[in-house]
Amino acid sequence: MRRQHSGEASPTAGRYPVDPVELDLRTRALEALLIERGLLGADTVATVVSVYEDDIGPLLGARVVARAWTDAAFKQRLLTDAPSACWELGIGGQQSQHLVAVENTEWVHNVIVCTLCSCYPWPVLGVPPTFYKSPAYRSRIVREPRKVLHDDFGLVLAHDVEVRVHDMSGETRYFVLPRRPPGTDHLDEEQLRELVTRDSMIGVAVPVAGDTRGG
Amino acid sequence: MEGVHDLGGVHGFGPVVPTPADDRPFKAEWQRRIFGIALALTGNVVVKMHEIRYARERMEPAAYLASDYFEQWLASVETCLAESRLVSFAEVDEAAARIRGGEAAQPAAERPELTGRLRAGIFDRPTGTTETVSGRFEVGASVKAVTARPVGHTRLPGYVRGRTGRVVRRLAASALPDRSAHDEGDEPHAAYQVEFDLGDVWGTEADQNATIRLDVWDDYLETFPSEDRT
Repeated sequence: MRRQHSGEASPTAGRYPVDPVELDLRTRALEALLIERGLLGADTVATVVSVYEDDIGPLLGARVVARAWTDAAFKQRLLTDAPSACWELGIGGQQSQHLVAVENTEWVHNVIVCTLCSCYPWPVLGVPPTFYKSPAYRSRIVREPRKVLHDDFGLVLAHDVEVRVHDMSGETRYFVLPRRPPGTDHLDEEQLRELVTRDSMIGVAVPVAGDTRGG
Repeated sequence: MEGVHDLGGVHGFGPVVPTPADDRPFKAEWQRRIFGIALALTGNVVVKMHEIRYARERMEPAAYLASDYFEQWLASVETCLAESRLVSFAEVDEAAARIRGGEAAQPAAERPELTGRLRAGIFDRPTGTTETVSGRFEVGASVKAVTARPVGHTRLPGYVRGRTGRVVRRLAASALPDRSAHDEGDEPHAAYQVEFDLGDVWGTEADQNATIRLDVWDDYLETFPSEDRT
């Protein structure tokens, strides 16, 4: 694809945004043309969509985190080689090669973002939530992270805790390994999974004992 | 490209609205459709991710900000297909008009091998290399991001250009987007995770106990005057 010169009009000038009726027509037209030209089968879109609606989502990341909380050796493997550790739990895919888990500690709180588009650790978290893709998040989390976490997510971090923002500008797909909450010594791995939320693996929340994902 | 997509630090977007925990990924059939189409095209390497991103960056600024996230995907997929001469904008216009006019969809064949390959790629053990092409810098090195602002695709956000940070991790080498997006080569280039203090990036009013870490290719870092110019 060639570079666009600064005075040149956008290739989609005047075409977007459009209303949902048009979007429906356009995507149907596009799919039909691509099937006609052998670039898709009639089953392709439905298959790919069902994978991300049913099979791949934060439940996978929750399994990784709960395992790391209960198995110190696994946790070390996760922190040094996340792709291999995730593969132990059956999590794979080409993008998983770039996974890196970043650990929250008493002194460091991690949070992820992609300011340039919306890159996200899909293999463990699935498709990103709306807030993650929003201009408000992308613009503000790298500039005033503590304030965004406090004002918009109700997450209060003491000032002696370093807030560390990971902007996914490259190929690496970071996800947060949150801290195991106090008061959970009596829970087994399956019960701990229930506490690991999507937002805690993004870094805009922390897991709380007695607070399950259902809400 | 110095476009409006480069949002880090921009003021004025207001509060972040959290998303419910049980939020479903797609809200409409058309979103599912473009999602499936985009993943199929990139998964089968008909279009590169670097091209998809650059195409999205090339949306009109107002259109980019006003469009639904998946609408941005549609715009970028259409651009990529038009520029690689696989499907033109006019062909989509005409086909959409026929559907609007009530034309029935043609029965279409499944492609189990193509679909199966795509699906397997989402679950297979990854086979990518993690070779680390040696870059100029070691972990701990002080580095300065370049100030150049290219018109083509790049992945160095504007907010760190010219800023000094510290290498905290060496990353697997990978294709440089600035070249790969423009068919100038996919050979791996060295990359690092670099840490910047928020105070250095945004000034004294910024949180003084916060840092930003970015993935930065070696090509995005300046050569210091003391280095050999060989």
